[in-house]
This record gives sequence, structure tokens and C-alpha cells, in this order.
Amino acid sequence: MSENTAIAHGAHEESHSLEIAEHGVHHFDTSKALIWRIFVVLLIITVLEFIIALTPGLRQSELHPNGLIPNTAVVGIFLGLTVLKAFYIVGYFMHLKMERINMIYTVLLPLLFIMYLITLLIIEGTGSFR
Amino acid sequence: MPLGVSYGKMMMWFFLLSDAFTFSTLLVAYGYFRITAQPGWVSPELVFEGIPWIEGLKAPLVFVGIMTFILIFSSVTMVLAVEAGHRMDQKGVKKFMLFTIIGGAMFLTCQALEWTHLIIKEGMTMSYNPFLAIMPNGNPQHLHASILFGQLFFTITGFHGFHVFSGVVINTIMYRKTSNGDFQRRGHYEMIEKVGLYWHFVDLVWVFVFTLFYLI
Repeated sequence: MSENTAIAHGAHEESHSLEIAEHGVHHFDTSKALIWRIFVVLLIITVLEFIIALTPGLRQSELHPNGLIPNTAVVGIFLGLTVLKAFYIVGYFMHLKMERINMIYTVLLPLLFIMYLITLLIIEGTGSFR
Repeated sequence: MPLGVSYGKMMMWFFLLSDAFTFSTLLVAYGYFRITAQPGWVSPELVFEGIPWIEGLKAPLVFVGIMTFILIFSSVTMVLAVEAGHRMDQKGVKKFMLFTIIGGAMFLTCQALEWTHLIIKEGMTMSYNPFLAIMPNGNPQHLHASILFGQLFFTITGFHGFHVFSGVVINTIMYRKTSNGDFQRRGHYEMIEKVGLYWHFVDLVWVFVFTLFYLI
């Protein structure tokens, strides 16, 4: 599994890295080119966030009631982009995507407790019980 | 090795997992207060529109944008150091660890400037918030509850900043060990990978802090 194929298959392909994980080859596959690609991806996502946040009249809020996109949708987009950035950082920079599947689940499954906490507090916070 | 990683790396992952829980409680608390805030909340657009030491300029998010860029870039140099370690390239590891340390120090400097700006110039502290909250009808107003914004901001960015500080210290130790040739003698640069995991985690937390405090 050479560096070139990892680049050619691109950052989005899940199956490829699972293949690496299964074969246990998980040490020399973070090439320089891939690192810079991930950097560019992170940069583009961040710039996109800035464009959404700073374009006047795009986001509806108390300050700008005539905005184009409702505030809830903008918040959703921001959170989605954040999780996407987290995926690239954890997956490629922290190398988790290329680890064995046991390792991936060991790290990711406990995070369900955080999702549980968020869900509970959203339910309570949005007024159903107040 | 049932998890396919060394003992040390696995333990670093478990530490980071516990740290993730700590940060989540803080950030979830922030989110909870944010959605329950009645009747209004301080607008981040108003809080973060200044640039430290530049009078009268209104450029929302520009300063924090620079900070975000610095931290992401220092993460990149960190992976490059790990990559150089794989090739047993002592000079490369040294160079990229140095870049990473400089990036972390720059981030800390920016944060110190931002805090100084907010505390001294704007007067936002743990017990007072000068910024106006935006009411549902669009009118800005002073709210006692706005104190929460400053308290959460200083607690969470302070906790994160302390992580960055620890990271810079650990990176400096690793830089020294690399210079001494410790890892070269040991035959591998796994320690660089472990501190790399920590450093990326600090970057990861910043990604969330950035979204929750500055964007939303």
C-alpha cells in the first residue's frame, strides 16, 4: 500500500483505509503530500465558516432580522463543518483512521456518552420541562 | 497488542478521551446556558469585533481567525515532525518541533493579547460584562445574566490555553531530547507521535471552542 495510492484514492474514501487497517500496515502511510492536502481541506472549511459568519445579510439573527438563512440553519451548518474538521484532524493528523478497527471503536464509542449528555440538556434546555 | 498500538500510545489515547470528557462538560455547560438564556444573550459579533491595540477598528473575528490559522498550522508542522521521525530524520524532527513550539507560543501570545484587550480595555471580567445583550425585539440591553458569558469564556479558553501551555512545555522537552539524540539511540521516534497526539487534541478542542464561542 504505497503513499501514492493513498493520495490517489483521496481523503474521502473510507474503504481504502479500512483495508490498510485490516492488513495491519499502519505506520508509513502519512505522506507529506497527504498532510498538506488535509491542511488545505481544513483551511478551506475554516474560510467557508468565515464567509458564512461575515457576509452581511446572510445570517438571520437578532442583530440582522432580515438575514437570508435562519439562525438555526446557520448554527447547524457551523456544527456540521466543525465535526467535519474534527474528522480530518482525528482521522488523519491523529492517524486514527488508519488504526485497527478495535482501536477506532475504543476511542469513538465512549463519545456516545457526550452525545447523550448533549441530547438530555437540549431536551431540558429547550423548555419541555420548564 | 489487541488494539494494534503500543502501550504508551494507547494510554495517551485514553488520557485524551478523559480530557475530551472534561472539555465536553465545560462546552456542554456553555451550550446549555446559551440555549436557556432568557431573554437574550451577548452577541459574539459585538464582543469579538476589536483587534487588540488597534483603536477604533471594527473587524469581527479577524484576530481569532489569525489564532485559528496559527494553531492549525502548528498541527501541520507537528505531523511533519512525526513523518520525519518515521524516516529517522533527526534534523527534520528538530526543525518541525521548533516550528510547532513557535506556533504554540504565538497562539499563547495572541490569547494573552485578547484577554488583556477584553479585561483591561473592554472591562469584561468574571464578575462584570459590559457588552449589551440583544433582546428578541432587537434592542440591545444590559443583562445581569451576561456575566455568564465572561465566566464561561475565561474558564473555557483559559482551560484550553493552559493545555496549549502544557503542550509547548512538553514539546520543548521533546525538542531537547531530539537534539540530544535520545530517540536516535532508542531507534524510534514514538515519543514524538505521542506528544503529537496531545498537540492535535489541543488543536481539536480549539476547533470546537472557536465554533461555539466565536461563530455561533
